[in-house]
Amino acid sequence: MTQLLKFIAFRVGSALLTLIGVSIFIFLAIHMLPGSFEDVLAPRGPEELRQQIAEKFGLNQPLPIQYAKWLGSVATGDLGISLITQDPIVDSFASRVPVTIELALLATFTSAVIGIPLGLWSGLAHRRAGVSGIARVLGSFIMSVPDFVIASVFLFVFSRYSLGLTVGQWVPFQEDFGGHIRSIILPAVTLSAVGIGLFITTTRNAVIGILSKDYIMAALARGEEPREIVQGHVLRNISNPLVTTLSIYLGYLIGGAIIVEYVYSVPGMGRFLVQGLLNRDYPIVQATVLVIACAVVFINMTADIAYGLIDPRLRKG
Amino acid sequence: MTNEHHSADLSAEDLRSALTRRSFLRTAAMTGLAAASATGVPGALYAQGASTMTWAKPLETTMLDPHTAILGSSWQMLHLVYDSLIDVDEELNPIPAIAESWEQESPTSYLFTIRSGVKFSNGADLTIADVVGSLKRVQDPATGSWWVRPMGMIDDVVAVGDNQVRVTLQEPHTPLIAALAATMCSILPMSLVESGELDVSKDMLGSGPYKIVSHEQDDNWVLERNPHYYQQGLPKIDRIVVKIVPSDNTRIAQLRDGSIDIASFEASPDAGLLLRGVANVEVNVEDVTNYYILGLNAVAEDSPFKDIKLRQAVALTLDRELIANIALGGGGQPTAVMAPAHKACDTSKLPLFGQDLDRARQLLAESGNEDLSFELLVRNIPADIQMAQVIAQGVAKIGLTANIAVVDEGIWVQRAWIDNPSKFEAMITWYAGYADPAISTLWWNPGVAGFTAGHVENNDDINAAIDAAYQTGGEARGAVLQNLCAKIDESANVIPLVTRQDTIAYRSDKLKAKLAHLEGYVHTLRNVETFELM
Repeated sequence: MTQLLKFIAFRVGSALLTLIGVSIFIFLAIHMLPGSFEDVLAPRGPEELRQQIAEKFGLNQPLPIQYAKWLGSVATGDLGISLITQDPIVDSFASRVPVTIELALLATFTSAVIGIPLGLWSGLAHRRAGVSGIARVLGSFIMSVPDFVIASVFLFVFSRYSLGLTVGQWVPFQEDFGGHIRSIILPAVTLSAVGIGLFITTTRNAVIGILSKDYIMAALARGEEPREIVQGHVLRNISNPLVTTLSIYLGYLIGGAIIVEYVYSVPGMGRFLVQGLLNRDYPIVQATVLVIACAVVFINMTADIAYGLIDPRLRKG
Repeated sequence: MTNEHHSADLSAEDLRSALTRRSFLRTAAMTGLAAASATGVPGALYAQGASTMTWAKPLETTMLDPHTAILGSSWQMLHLVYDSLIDVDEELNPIPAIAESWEQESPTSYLFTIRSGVKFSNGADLTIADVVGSLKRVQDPATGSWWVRPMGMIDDVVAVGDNQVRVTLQEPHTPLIAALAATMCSILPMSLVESGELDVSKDMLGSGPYKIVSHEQDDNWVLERNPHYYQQGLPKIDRIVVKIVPSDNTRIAQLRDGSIDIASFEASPDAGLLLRGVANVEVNVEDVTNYYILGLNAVAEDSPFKDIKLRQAVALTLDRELIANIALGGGGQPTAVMAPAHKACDTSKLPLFGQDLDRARQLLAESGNEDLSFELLVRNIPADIQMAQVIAQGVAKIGLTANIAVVDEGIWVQRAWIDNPSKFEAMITWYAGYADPAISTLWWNPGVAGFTAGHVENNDDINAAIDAAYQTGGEARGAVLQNLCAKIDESANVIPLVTRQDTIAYRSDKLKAKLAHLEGYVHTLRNVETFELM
């Protein structure tokens, strides 16, 4: 137990250090980009106007002071204001974070529900060339088609033909549940494509590897039923690679969400970040990246802890 | 022994039985719960019973103070909320707006009669003090408006009686009336601005046809008709939902399936083509006075384009028809510094307008820059990149190599307009052309423009010609404008290319819209107050 607690404490400490590192990095990166907020906002304006804007938002102060002030605010839960609207960023997050989380969860669910069974099926029947080949080709194909290509095809097909699902018309959950479902399915399916391929490939390879183990032969020799072998040995032993895949996929979702939200006009965090970056709206970029970093670090930390719980040998490391 | 040999072979039936229904339902229920707990965007965009038009535009409005707004993407929205003294008609001629009439009393004095009964959208009367205060605010250095010089150096703005305002200039300034039609001369509720009750950099409150109801950054704006709008019975549509949809393809898809009523495509070379043949979609390609330019850096010490002969050689490689046809999908007209719509510049009389490769080679040889490679800086905008490619092919014909560098907006702005000297050798961008042919020529005077000081050579001849174009009115102005046009052409420093046409498309089965065919102020929804839903 003490070993487990130490393991968890170490992982939490690492996560906090990572977040501080990320906050410094993103702060410096965004401020060192050529073209400051006032330049992008008033590119042809008189110098006095740009100075006024910089002064109003404290952008003319030394970077360490700006960073310290920002970090101090973040520590109290204040993510700052958008330099453009001058509204609190936390208000925008309140509507955008749930959208991206919902999209990510649906995409993950779709990926897992389709990808894991297909991978299992393909792995278990891997000596049957037809079945195995179909799943392998399907997995590779899905992974090799970029999100924006899938999205563009969907955009055309679903705007050209009335197939029940909508494109580019985000409907909030509380306004119209049916409309909401119709507006989120295509973005979620687009985002899940890579995940499906990833889960098929990972599960298939893991299953093939497990089936070659001596204990499977021993189980067969003992006369165990196939169902018992799958439940007792295969499913249990593919957990680790699946947790790894899941954490990798969740990290990918953040980047994928940017493209999918852009193409489908979904008002989530991805679009918010891109616009913030283009406008050099520093607080938006800093806050969004920090929130995303928190999510990624949390996912990885949870995965690490899950490994430790699943496999006690890893706690020693 | 191989793994294949050792592995067991289980059938799909085995697998199906191994995955129990219970575990599937458990996962599904958990995911559904998580999804259900997620909230969406607050506030209904579409009020019941109200006629609502949905407009999808690519860019967000980033500057709300009309007097300092610099970007066309902001003007598009500001036009819906604010009015100016003057407006322009289909031919860009000035027409009454808040000023019901005006009179030029002398070369430096104008008297405006203010329309009675005009109210702001909060119901407050628009007063003479609001007009005087607004015009003075534009001129106030503390405001930091970039429109001071295009508007002209104002000596004084005073109220005359209850309903007139006199504007006195320091010197004659012919573009004044056209300049007053810009959103940068919007009339604000000055008592609220001065008392601090209204921060116009955060909120909008004007006397225009619509007022702001809500805003979700980078996603949507909701506007409602101004019940106090001075034009009786207008606007006809109760609500406008403005959706920020960055992707051209998405806006096209939305038009196709009818989920939006109108969409704007800023300088999108392919929009018109992609929309051709889409049922019930009317496409309007606006003739505009805005134009693309090729900037050559004549200031930076390390720029090869300090040499005028090299600049002129590059100018003579430009095939503007090809740029319009290949890079812009047939949109855009070849133009000098004054767009064809102004009818102010005869390009056949310009020394460097039109491709002449023999002369270009001769000038290049005289400059001693054969086999030169230079960087052509462009933003990550399809039209700009495609134009750069056509220009690169043109200069290649005389042995020059243009290396195209694509950068994001911020980097481009820093290198092109903020750094002094500018950190580019050649670049592409565009200027608004407004309603008077002389207004945008001011950018060729680096001492006045400021943002061009890093790459535009100070040329006394051009500066004098600009001053003359600003100060000369009447019939004599034609020759003055032609002279200015020729001098700018000859300098080959910032070279006008083709007009920058905007495409606006709408659902003709849902919306009755009279769109402008000629535009100079990026007023995308000009005449919006007369639009009707069917």
